[in-house]
Amino acid sequence: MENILSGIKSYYGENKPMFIILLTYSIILATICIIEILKADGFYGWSLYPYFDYVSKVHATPFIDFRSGYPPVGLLPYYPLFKISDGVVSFQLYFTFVNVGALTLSMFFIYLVLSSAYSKANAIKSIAIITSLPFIAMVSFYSSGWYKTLYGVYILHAVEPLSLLFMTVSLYCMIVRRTPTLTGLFIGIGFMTKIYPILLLIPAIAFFRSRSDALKLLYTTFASTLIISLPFLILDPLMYATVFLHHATRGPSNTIYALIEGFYGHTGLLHPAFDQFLYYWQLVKVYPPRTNDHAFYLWKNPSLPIVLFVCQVVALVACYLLLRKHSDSRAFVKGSCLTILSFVFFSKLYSPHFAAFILPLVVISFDKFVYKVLFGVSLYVMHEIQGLLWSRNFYDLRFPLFTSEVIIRSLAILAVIVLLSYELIKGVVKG
Amino acid sequence: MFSTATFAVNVLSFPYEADFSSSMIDVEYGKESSLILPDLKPSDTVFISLHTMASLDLTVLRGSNVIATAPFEIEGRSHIFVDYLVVTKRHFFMADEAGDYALYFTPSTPKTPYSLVKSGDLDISISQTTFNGHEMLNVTLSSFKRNMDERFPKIFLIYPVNIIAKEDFEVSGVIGLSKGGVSMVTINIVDETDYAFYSYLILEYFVKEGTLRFFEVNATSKEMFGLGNISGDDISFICIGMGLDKLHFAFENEDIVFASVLLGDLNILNGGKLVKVDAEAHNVFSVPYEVYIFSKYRPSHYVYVLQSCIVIGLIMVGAAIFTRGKRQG
Repeated sequence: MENILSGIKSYYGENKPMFIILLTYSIILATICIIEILKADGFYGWSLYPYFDYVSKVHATPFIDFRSGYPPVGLLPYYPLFKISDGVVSFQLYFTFVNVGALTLSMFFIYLVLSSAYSKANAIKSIAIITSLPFIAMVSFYSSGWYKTLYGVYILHAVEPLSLLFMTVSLYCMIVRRTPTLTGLFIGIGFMTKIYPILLLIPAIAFFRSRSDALKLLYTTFASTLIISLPFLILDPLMYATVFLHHATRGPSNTIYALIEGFYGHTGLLHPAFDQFLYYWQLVKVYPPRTNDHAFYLWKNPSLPIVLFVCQVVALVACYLLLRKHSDSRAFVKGSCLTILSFVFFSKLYSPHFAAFILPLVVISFDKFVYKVLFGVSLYVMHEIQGLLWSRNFYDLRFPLFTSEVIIRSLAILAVIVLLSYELIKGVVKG
Repeated sequence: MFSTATFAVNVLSFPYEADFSSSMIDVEYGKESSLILPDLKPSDTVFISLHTMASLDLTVLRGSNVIATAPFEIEGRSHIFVDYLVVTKRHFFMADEAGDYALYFTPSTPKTPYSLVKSGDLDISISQTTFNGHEMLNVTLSSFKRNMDERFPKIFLIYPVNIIAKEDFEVSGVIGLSKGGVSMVTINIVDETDYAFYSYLILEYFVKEGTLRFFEVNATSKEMFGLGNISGDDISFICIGMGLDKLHFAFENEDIVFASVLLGDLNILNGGKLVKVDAEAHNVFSVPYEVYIFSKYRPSHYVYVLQSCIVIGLIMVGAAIFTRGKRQG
């Protein structure tokens, strides 16, 4: 016992700045969210609470009777919070605490990854930048008098913090622990949280080169995904397939591709909740595709989704080929970011919630402090601007501001992709 | 092998196609019209699309048992100002047992050119009337004080337009309070370009009973909260919002709260084109409908065997991979 305590004490002594930063970060995040919850006074534009409420009212089982927007790990861990809450306010408070915990733990794993791949100084600088972003949220929060900040949006309403946690744990298992089994396990769990973490399989396959390691990685990813899915897959494989398939017909939003299509609104589906009892192909029969129905969208440029899909596949293959040339763990930190950003860049839709994983990835992918600040902060400000656009009275300015925000954000992500690709092609990986 | 084969047969033989029928049903305000759905199987999912602006209540019976239909709750946002929901009303239920089912449709109001959306616990009745020489709709909102959770339960009369607001854009008409007390009556314009719901006040809460007023909203009119401008924007709907105010009845002993609002001569001018929205309420009308009967997958008892087999298979493959790795190591 004494050994454990002295071990903790010495670890704390060696990593004191990190602990101070993370403690401050979690307190600030929790404070922002508690204020937002209390100010919202039970009103939320979107929350998992009405979903759970509806499911429990109609006695339906998610993934068997009823479709969800997320895979099982992205939804079910929050269900006990609904059961113990006595209303939307307490549910949002519990939801916030889970998400703040997930974000803080994610920062801890980022610290471990960067300490191993770079240095403690680099790790401290990176998490200092990422965790200082809520200060900007607080400034905009107090200066605008509006209670919704980006952090409020994605901590209160989204499952991205949980997804980020599994991404960072996967990175830690890959780059620090170098264990294909654990890496695959957490990539699988991440995939079952919000699909995106499966992309880390590309850098992981390039990282674990021996046949035996690659087999272990693929096996554990597949096995963890299958074990989590098995009850639903067996009891209603058609509804479980619908959970994933229903994203296929969604329209573009918040991207330059949405602008090309002439859509300037944010993402969202306007459909009766009972639609979720039907299988994907049944709904396709009931709702013919329309240009204003973003659940069953009729593309004005029908070739655009095909071009985007091909670009995503090419980008993933290119990332794999680039990473195969490298063995340095720094290259794999960069490569992991590059893989996810390339996929996101060619996605038909973007959500401000994605900031939860886009911002940390961008910050940790650069060696130079100035790049970390430049891209991290500017992308964060872009996301905050969009939050303000929808929540404040900018009505006549929405069109020009929204268009500018989408274009600048897309260009910033493209710039990060180009810079990282250049560094990986040239082999410029500095400490 | 047997359980896998059973699972595969179950999935492959599943009836992916829907039983589909479409026709017209004649309905009358105050009366029930019925439609029989024979031979439903347990868990069959029935989806009904009614292509009408009118609101119809649906009751589903199996024998004499009433089957619950799903409430119309919107996924995503809290309003339904999109044309595929405003001009098509949808209902849904699942068959609890095998048998013949009967659908009973009852119009909750006569059919008008408007689609009705309400928030809060409100009863609504609509009739056609002539007042001071104007053909008008008499819209009566009523509720009980004890049932009113919110102070201003309201309804929207929604009219789809789908236009770009030109310089000459103008919505005009006549509005009045026949009886009772309103919180306010507003013209609301759904602006797709600004992603906004602009409101223009046309009748205040202190208006006297029996007053008629002409109103006019144009492209440069000042929105109620001074938020923005519709000029040049994509407009999808024009909605007349009516709120009921229980404070009007604060000192009345009776529990009932009500307001009768008169609306007539609604004209929409845009780009030199004038659309007159008639103040008509039809008690008898026909509704085109579509009924889809979808099957629901039901697993066989062998799935638990299959589940166990998959887990055992995973363990065996895992053991092979890891022991091979160890031997190589």
